[in-house]
Amino acid sequence: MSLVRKPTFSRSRIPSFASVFLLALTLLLLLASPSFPWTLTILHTNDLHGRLSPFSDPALGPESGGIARLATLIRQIRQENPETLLLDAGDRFSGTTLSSLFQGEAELVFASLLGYDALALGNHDFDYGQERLLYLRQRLAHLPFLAANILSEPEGKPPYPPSLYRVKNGVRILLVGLSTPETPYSTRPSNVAGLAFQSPARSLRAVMEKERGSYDLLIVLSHLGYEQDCRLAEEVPGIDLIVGGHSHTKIETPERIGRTWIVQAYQWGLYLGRVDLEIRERRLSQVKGKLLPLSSKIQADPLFASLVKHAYQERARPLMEEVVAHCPYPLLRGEGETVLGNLLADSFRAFTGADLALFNRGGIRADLPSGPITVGKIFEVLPFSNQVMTTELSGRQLKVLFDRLAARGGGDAISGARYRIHQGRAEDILIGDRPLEPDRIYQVAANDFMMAGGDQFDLLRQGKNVRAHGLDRQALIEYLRGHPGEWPPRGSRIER
Amino acid sequence: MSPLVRVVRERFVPYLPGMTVQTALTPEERDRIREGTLKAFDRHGHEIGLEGALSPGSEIILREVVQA
Repeated sequence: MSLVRKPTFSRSRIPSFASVFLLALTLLLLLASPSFPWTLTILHTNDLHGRLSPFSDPALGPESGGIARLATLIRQIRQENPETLLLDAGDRFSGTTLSSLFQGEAELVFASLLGYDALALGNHDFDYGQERLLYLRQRLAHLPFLAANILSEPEGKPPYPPSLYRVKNGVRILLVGLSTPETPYSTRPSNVAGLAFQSPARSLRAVMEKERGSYDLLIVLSHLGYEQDCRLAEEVPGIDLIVGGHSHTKIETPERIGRTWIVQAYQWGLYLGRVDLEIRERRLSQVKGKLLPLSSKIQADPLFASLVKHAYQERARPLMEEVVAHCPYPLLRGEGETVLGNLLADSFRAFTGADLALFNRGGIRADLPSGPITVGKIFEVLPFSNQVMTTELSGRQLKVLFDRLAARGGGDAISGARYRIHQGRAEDILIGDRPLEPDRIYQVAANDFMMAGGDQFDLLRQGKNVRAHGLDRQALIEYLRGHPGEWPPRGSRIER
Repeated sequence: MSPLVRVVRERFVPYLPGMTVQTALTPEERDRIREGTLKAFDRHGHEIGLEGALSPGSEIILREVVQA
């Protein structure tokens, strides 16, 4: 009798299902990935700021840019190389009439139609509030916004996916989104309430650690600005490509910091960025890239052009004609205190909740005739998309500021305060109904131009805790809607 | 001392969070850039847009556009 002993194996020597599966997957990917070099094309945009229709550009000529031209180029390049990714580095919202009127809807509808593979969240993508962004994302759920350094407070959970994978030719590409930590200071605070913006470098390292060994290429979509992108490349080794935005930098050809390539495609969709990454054995071997101008030489995609016209421009016309208030008499610009200036300053104060607000006389670009005030008219009065900002100044600093206002002749509008001009200086200054207190800290609202020292408002630069609250037009429209029939009297704030 | 943004060589503007190129320039410079007779560049020689975000220590170099 022969005894056949059954083979015995220790448990540790039996390969688990998971390890067999992983081995098979790795072998599959290795086989799927060609050993010969191939090209992965990255198409990139940034800071489109609502530019859907063509516009005149001094360098590219009339009728430049526009989403329909962008669609043509993207389609052509995808046909040329199916191994293409389309990426955006943030700030699709804010800056045009269409963006303001449709509160970001048009930008995201077209982003969805273009089929972006991933998008970073820019600070201006919060300009219409988180609820609006959430609503648009839910309606266009397949738009993959990424933000690795944004957390919800107090849960500490990411409200947006930090990263996602795209596999091309068997190569695993990890895409990570980063947003500027300055977002809370560059949009209305309520727009980002409950969100914490973390260090981009630390957040990126955390994603890299978590995904270690699972990716072949790492591409960062950064809404940090060029200077910060260079710093990120130095601080965090292992990034293959940074697709940048925020600083509106025109990087003609890809630049290299260490082993990291950096690109950015200027602004407003005037250029489509193209980077061709040569991949050899799952690694980046060569990089070529350029900016493709969207001049009128590029034919507009007829479907996109038609959608812009019929779905948005024609719908915008009645919205621009929407009446927000009726004015009993013309509101004119002019020397000295004006009702129009007072109205604008009042709208800033109401918009921000500041103790007082200022408006420089040169910032008013048109008069308002008597009768209906339309949204279109407001765009004529305030065409520059200036931000309403607040800062903190002491009463002592405000005294110097009021002296400056008096020296300028009292033509700059104020709200929430009164003063008397005597021999070129400010006297009897009241904030609300109380005399100015030298040691008290006051919240002061003004536009971003004045806050940076424009029109000789140097003193505003000394303020602390500077915050942006939103566009000047938005402030005025909200004020007129919320205060029907209330017109500030002329000549009641500055006594001579 | 708060961080600064340097415009050309002689003028310094204090840095404010959320500040853009246009807020560091004079109204005349802004108008000329919009018209295309002036361009703004960063310290690395890249052209930058009027609404481009600045960071502490940024430098804006203004160059006349020479018509061909």
